[in-house]
Amino acid sequence: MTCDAIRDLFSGLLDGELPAAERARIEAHLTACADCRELWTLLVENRDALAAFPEVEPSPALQARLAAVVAPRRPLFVRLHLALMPRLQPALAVLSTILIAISMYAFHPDRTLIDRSISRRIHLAYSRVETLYVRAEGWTGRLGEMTSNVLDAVKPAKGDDGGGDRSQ
Amino acid sequence: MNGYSKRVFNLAYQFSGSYQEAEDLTQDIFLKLHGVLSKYDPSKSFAAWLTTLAKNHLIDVYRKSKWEKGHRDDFEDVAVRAESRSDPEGDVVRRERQAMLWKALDGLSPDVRIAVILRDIQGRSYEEMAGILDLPLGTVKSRINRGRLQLAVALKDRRGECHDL
Repeated sequence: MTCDAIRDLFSGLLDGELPAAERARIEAHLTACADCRELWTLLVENRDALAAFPEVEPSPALQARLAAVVAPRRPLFVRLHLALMPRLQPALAVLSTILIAISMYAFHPDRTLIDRSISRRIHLAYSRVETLYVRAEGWTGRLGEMTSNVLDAVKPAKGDDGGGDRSQ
Repeated sequence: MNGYSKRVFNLAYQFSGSYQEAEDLTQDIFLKLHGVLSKYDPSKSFAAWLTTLAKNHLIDVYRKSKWEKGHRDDFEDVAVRAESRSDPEGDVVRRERQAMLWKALDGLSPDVRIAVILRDIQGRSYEEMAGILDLPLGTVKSRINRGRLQLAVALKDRRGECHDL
């Protein structure tokens, strides 16, 4: 392998990503080639030095400036984030459906027909409820009658309990 | 907020090499962020998205040559400003190496420089970098290899110069 081909593999070797056979080939080349060996040594030392590069703290003045830039927008971001939370999606779907239905009604060209149809249905429903109410009243009356009949039927039996029938 | 600003600031500082410039760049990046926040997709990592935004801004500004190239702060200034992560006076050799690398970063093209910073200084994974740089994994790896070799050659040349003197 040429020096260029070996050097193309240096990063893979440095990151420990090469298979054993390729590693062995590079190591054999490094033993024989002083230039590549020097470069490899530099790569290893550079990696360690770069990884230990110092991290600098931004100045308080910059932090204050950044806070001023971000602060007014943050609530909107947070709201957006909350609104897009998966657990709110069923509620958002229901809300969207309701809004679509309202808009379909509000912007329908034959809105008066819809109004009439709705009021007819409301009247129909009202009359059905009335009918049910009247029937229920009838049932209540009959139930009262039945109750008093049953009570009347039970009373003589109580009288018999206290009378001479027991002796027979 | 602090974590993000520190991350962006350090990227800008390592890329530009100037503390003052890095402060201005960081502020510009956050102003840009303020303008495009509505485009953020919450299903993706905010940190990666912000880093992409920062990277694009840094490279744009670099290409428009808004700051004077080749004038990086002295590494001693970086070390003084740094927190505990910087070495104490014990490791002088490493400090010298870091100072040389700090200067050598200026010799890398902006695309290669940002890749080396993300990988070797900030320790990002190749997968994360592919997302940030919007490049295939193979391209990211070859870019890193190129950057590492260029830095090694720059240091080798520097050593040669020192020996010649």
